[in-house]
This record gives sequence, C-alpha cells and structure tokens, in this order.
Amino acid sequence: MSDTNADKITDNRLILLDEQDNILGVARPIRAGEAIPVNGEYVRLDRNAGIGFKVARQEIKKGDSIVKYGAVIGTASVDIAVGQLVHVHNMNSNYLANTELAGLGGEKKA
Amino acid sequence: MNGYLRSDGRKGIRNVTLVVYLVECAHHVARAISQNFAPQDVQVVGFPGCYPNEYAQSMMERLCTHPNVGAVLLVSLGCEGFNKLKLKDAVAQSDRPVEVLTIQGEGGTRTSVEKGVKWVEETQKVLAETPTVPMEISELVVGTICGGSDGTSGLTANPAIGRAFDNLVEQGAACIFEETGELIGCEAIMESRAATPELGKELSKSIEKAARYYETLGYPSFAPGNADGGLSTIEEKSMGAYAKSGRSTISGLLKPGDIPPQGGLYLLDVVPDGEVRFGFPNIVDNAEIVELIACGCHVILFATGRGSVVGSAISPVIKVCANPLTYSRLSEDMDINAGRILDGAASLSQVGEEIFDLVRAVGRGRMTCSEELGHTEFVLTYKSFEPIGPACLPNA
Repeated sequence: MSDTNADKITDNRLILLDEQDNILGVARPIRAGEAIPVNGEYVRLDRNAGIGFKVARQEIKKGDSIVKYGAVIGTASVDIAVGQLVHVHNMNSNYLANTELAGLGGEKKA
Repeated sequence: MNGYLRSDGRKGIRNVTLVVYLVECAHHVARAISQNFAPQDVQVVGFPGCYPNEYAQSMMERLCTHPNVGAVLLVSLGCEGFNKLKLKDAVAQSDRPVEVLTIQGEGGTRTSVEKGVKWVEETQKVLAETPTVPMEISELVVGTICGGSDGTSGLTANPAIGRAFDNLVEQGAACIFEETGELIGCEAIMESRAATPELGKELSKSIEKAARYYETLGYPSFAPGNADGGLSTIEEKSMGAYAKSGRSTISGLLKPGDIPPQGGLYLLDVVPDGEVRFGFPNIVDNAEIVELIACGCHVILFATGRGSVVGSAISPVIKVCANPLTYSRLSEDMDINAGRILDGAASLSQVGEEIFDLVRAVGRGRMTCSEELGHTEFVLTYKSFEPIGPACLPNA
C-alpha cells in the first residue's frame, strides 16, 4: 500500500483508504441522487449507499481491478462511471473464480 | 515504561496473581478465593475439562509464566486428568511463588478457600515488593483482534490499528495478528509481504487450512449479510480484517504459545491441525485473546464496531471503537473513538498515533476501560496443534 495522502478526506461522507484506490469508502449513508464530490467534481450517486459501501473514484473499465486498501479486491464486470456505486452488480471476486479450495470454488456471491 | 523483570529476561507491565482451576469442579473454590481481592490484582483462569489435553497443558504453562504474572495458585479437585505437578514445576522454575491446593485433600470447599485466601494474602505482600526496571517499546509484544465487526470496522478501527502496528514494529516491538479464517482471499498479498518465499508459502498454507476447517464445520466464509453491509467480495471482507496488520514485512508464523523470537510482525495460526475434532477453532473472541496472551502479548488491541465490552485476565485490552454511534452508547467501555474518522474529526494516522500513545500509557500502568470495570474474561478449550516448521521463523 502507498504511504502518501491516504488520510485525505474528500468529504465527510466519503473516505479514501489508500492513494492507490480507485474507490472511496462511504462513511455515512448517502441517498441515490445526492451530489458527492469526487476528484473536485460533483456527481450524483446512482444508488443508495450505506456505511461501508464503495463509490468509484475514477472511471473503471470492464475487466479492470477494483482496488481498496491498495489491494485488488475484485474485477469490474461492466464499465463503471465516476461516482457510481461499486458492488456485486458491477464487480466480481477474483478469488472465488480462481480458487480450488474446498467449498469456496462453487460458492457464489450473495 | 517500567517493567517487572522475570527470570527468563522478559518484563511484565502488570504483576497479577493467578488462581487457576484445573477442572471445572474446582472453579467455585478458585472464584471464591479471588473474590477477596481486587480484580486487577488477583484473577481466575482455568481449564474446565476432566480429560487431559496437551494443548491445554502447554497453554497453561505459557500463561502461568507470562511476564504479566507474578504468582500462581493452582486449585485442583484431585481426580482430574490435568498434570498439576508438571505445571507447578514449570512455574517454580520461573522463580514465581506457586502453590497447589487439592480440594479433596484439604477437607472440602470451606477449608480450601480459607487456605487459598491466606496464601494469596501472604503472596500479595511479597509481590508488593517486586522491583521494576526500565522497559523499552522494543520489549513489548502487542496482539490484535476484531470482534463485533460492522461496516465501519474496515474503514476506521482496523486500518488505524494497522498504523499503530507499523509504528510499534518500526520501534522494535513484536506485533501479532490472527484470525486466519477471516483472511481467506489475502493469501497472495500476504505472500508478497513475507520475509522469505518459504514463509510466504507457510502463510498461504495456514489460510488454506482455515478455509478447509470452516468448510467442514459448514461455516460460510462469505455470507449474504456481508453483501448487505456493502462488502462485495470475500477478498474485500478479508482485507478489512487484514488492515489491522499494517504494512510491515511479515517476519513469521506462530501457533498458540509460541513466543516471537524478536521484534517484527507475526501471524498467529489459531486453527487446529489435523482432523476437525473439538468443534469450532475458537468459540468466542476471548479464546483468541488467550492464545495471543500465551504468545507473550502484554497488551491486546481490540477493534469493535457493534461494541464488544470484554477485557481479559493477565493482559490489558484496549478497545478501539470503529463506529461513532456505538461509541456514543458505550463510551465507558471504549478506550479509543476511531469513529471520529467518519466524522472527519480525525485522520487514520492521528487515531493510529493515539493508539500507540495509549499502549505506552497502559505499559506505564494506566488502566484500560475494561480493567477499571473489572473485566477479566478467560476461555480455554480442547484443541490440538503440530509444532511450527523451520520456515515459519526464518530469522530465529
């Protein structure tokens, strides 16, 4: 993980956990349609987001890694625009797709 | 900081007398003895089972010779399987006052309690004279655990503890993280942080073992409730817990009771080896806390979102509350309000420094919230482990 301005808080509602991340963590509930500042520009959130959800910090292409804590946590299954919610509807686990571990190989996300 | 110097060279930040029941049948007598004293001075630990267990025996030896422990009273019913003389010898060899009280030989409950109270009173006078010596950060062993997690844990408390761990490791302390069952999906990133490739393989193997173990128990590694909380993949969920480990190189893999040979960051493998035999690897958070303490941890950093209130026998527990709403409800039980990060009132680094400073203050004798409230939880159950291999501690 990079050591630069990961603590920088863009907005009370959003939190950047690591400078390498392409998502922002949601720190307090945000409703669909609310404007949020991402990289200096206001965008409207497309879906409701609770605490602990993720919002795209930059444009993410289908097949790109989703990076949180400076680590890859999955892959975009479709193109994702800046400010869109990033969750099970537009990203997949790399781990469950690749793993041969007992019981995890066939498991699908909820 | 000042510490109590023990015969093995380690130093303690507390000087606790343990009253140890060696089977559940002796628990009442042990508790009755301890109730005559303050919880920060005299604490009850024990093993409930009647049948012997190698793991419980070795854990008890580690715990009774932990640097925070000054004296030990063993309470036996008389017919249990625990090898009390072997335990007594181990404590005696560490130059600590130790006594065995066998209820069947003492004439029952009342006489055993009276005799035990008298022994502890005498011992307290001796312990009050224990000299202290200067103690450095580099002599500390610090463990971390999370429990009662929610969506805020991975955003605030866990990464803030990671920052504190980075700082502690940099200053030479040994830091231990655990919960291999909650690190599934982090194998690749952990391997890349290992001190040697061979250690990296061992780290991965420990997580594969945990995945198989939980699978056998029918325990889901990624449940629908996780997605409801905003977590999209198992690797994301695991990274949230993994954030407690910070960014240091991983120096080794330990099993319960292994003492880190030097400073650095260590993973504690808490999942038993071999066939699934005794049920869940850890029935509750305190079982993991006990295993961290058996590895020599002086202090435990406990990240909680929904609000655990526990402490522990032997070593102080610092509770780092991830969720600002939980903090406002349970502030008396929480040492650190990491939820301020969500309010924009503090950064991860600031809370990390606050945790680091509190570790030092607790090392100097400041009581944690759970200590002040008299928490001394303790759980030890049946388990079995194989010893770690040479690749697990490459710098030892």
